[in-house]
Amino acid sequence: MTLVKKAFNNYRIPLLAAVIFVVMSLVNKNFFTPYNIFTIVDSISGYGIVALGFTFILLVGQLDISFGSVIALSACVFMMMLQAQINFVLALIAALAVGCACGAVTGFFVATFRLSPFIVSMTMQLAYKGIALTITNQTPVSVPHPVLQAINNIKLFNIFPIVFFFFLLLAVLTELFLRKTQFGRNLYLVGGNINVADNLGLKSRNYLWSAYIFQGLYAAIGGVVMMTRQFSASGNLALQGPMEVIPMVIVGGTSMAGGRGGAIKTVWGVVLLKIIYNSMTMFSIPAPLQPFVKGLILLAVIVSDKYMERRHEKI
Amino acid sequence: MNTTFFEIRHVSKSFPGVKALDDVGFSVAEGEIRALVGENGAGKSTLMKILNGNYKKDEGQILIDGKEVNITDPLVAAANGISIIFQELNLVDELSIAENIYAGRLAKGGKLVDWKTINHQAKELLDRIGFDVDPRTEVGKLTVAGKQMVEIAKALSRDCRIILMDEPSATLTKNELSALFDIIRDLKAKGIAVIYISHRMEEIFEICETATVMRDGRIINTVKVDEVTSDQIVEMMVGREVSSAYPKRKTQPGEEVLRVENLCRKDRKQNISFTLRRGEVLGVAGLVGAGRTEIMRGLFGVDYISSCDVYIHGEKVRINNPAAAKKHGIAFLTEDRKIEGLTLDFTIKANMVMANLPKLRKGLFTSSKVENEIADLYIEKINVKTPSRNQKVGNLSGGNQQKVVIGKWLNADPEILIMDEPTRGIDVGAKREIYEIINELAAQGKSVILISSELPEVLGMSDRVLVVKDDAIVAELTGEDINAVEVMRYAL
Repeated sequence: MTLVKKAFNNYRIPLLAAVIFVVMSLVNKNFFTPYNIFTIVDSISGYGIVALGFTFILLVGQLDISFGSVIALSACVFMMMLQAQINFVLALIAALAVGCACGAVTGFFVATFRLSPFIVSMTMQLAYKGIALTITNQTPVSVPHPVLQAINNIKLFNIFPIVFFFFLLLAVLTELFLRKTQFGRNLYLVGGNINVADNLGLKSRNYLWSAYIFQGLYAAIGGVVMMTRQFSASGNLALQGPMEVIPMVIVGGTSMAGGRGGAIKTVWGVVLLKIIYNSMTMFSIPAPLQPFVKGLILLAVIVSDKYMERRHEKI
Repeated sequence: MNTTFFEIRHVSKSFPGVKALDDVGFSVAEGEIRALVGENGAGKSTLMKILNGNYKKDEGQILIDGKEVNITDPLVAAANGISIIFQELNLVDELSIAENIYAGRLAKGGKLVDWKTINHQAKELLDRIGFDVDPRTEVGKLTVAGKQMVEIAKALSRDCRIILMDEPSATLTKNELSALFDIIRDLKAKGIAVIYISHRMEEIFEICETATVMRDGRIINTVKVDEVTSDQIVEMMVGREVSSAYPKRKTQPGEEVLRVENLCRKDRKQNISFTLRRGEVLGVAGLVGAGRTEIMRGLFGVDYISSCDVYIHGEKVRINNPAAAKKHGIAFLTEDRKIEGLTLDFTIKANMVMANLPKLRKGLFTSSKVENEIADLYIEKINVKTPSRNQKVGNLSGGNQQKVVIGKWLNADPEILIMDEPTRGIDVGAKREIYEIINELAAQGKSVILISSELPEVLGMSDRVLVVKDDAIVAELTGEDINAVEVMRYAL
């Protein structure tokens, strides 16, 4: 009994994902097919990686809504360099550097001047997007680069794309970093109670800043991973990024108040929402209605999860 | 007697306008349990923050084993074996006990955190102080007493030699307290010195060997506890002349306007009863946390009360929310003017009219003419120093802000004003003005309930003084009995 309770308390989101997966497989014959499984898994990696980055931001109790533009900008830089026949590895490094730089700028203003992260990142979102639109001259940059195509073609059992495993690997590494290194634990400490961190003599500001740099790095990786699927970048890439990613992290169980959560939790948040969204299309809900249903489902998941978490408290 | 290892010499610290510490010095021996007592504002907190490296001392030395140490930040304090357990505990609720204990030093030099060892070590520390709990438990799930245990374990984990505890008993139950005392005795046996800060005399006499008394930033005396009585300690704490900074009132209180009987806050047995007369200033004294504010919050209908009979002019009334209290002519000027009293971003005018908007109504709309008149009336009446009624309240000085609060409530035409710490954080001149306003109100026949942690203020201003301790009124003092020694005798 206690084991069941414990499992229920700690693994609610994975359990819910599993239940929906099984139920859907039973009620809809189109769900558990190689093609549909591929569709789900394929859609996970790009935003999934970005969600790992956003986990850092929430853990330190901050907010960043500029990462959609960071994805676009770093993907544009990456593709433009490929277009200019620059070495693949160099282009990759440049893209990641651009991501880190964007995160560093946003984080600098937030951490150093203690400005509202919402306002700073909203402003920077416009700035980064402006740069991306300008350097691409408002036209998509499409390059069917052989390396990208090769990555796109590697699939395990013809279902699981290789980038999906890259995502899982990155998630495990991130989790290890957060849980098992002094730096990672200090991020939790700063997010949980910044005054305590200050009192311990930690340089809280640097930890806040680092979270933004991580977010920028992961956004850039996410952008590059998206390129292995669509071979085309534009300033308007990932317009819906924050609206897609933020719910995944929160549903996964990382607290907006900071200090609580983790990378594996985020993975389950991503998986759960992707399964739910996929199920929606299975029931052929008309496209215009889908955002509405999405909104309702998100609200239901968050409310019920919070209720389960706090059911012993009086709010 | 053990050897002295910790010494403070001639430490001074000034803040703008106040000398918080003035040539403070004392020494502590290994395994000594020392009480540090003093009224609110005597300088105990400042001293602690200097020892923890939060504040920099202006002058003086701190010596450990005869060598001077320069405590620049909390890490240095810890490295020198000084641990401080603040009232607001320094713990992160979201993290486990073990992680809180070892926060900031879980792994050295890029190594991975070895959770197994850390949890094991934490468990050993917890065992040493007899706290039986899984170190992986989230700290947020512990009681306050449990959290204190974690703080003590944290101190032990840093090989501390001296622990300062800031009113550890304030939030503990009797059983938890005796467990804490067992731990303190245990620490003593290990040679660790404890500086125990508390207001409660019975605790000091139970656990401490020596007591250092502070007053107005100075050390008054250090005594052996078994050689003095608690009255003697109290005298040392308050032994100051009540200054004549308090203007005299010429008027005498009139007939009874308010009678409170059997006020009980939810879940507490209190049965508080008191009366208030016309034109009277009723002082409410007691230590911080004794429950003074809470009684008034109950009366004003902010907090739940399970029972209370309130009579205004002999007529029984029901007050179960602030609106009803206001209707019956009661005003409550809260303790924290910046959070509960004023809207700092609004103008003086907007704040002044807030408590009585119906006054502004002319037909369907509010009249800005009336609004201006009201604002100007009270700005003049209580002498708010401002270039214009359109000045943002946030830009005013503390004293002027407090006057706006008073004006705001006067506009509601109250008969009874409850003032909670009306002079907190404002300078001497503005204080004097507030006192004059209070006297003026009394002369007009309004009644004032004055809650204050500054004892001289209560003594100097009140016709009658209620002493509150442990959520109950323990004494009512009048005439000659209104003096510091009497009040402290009941309050402690």
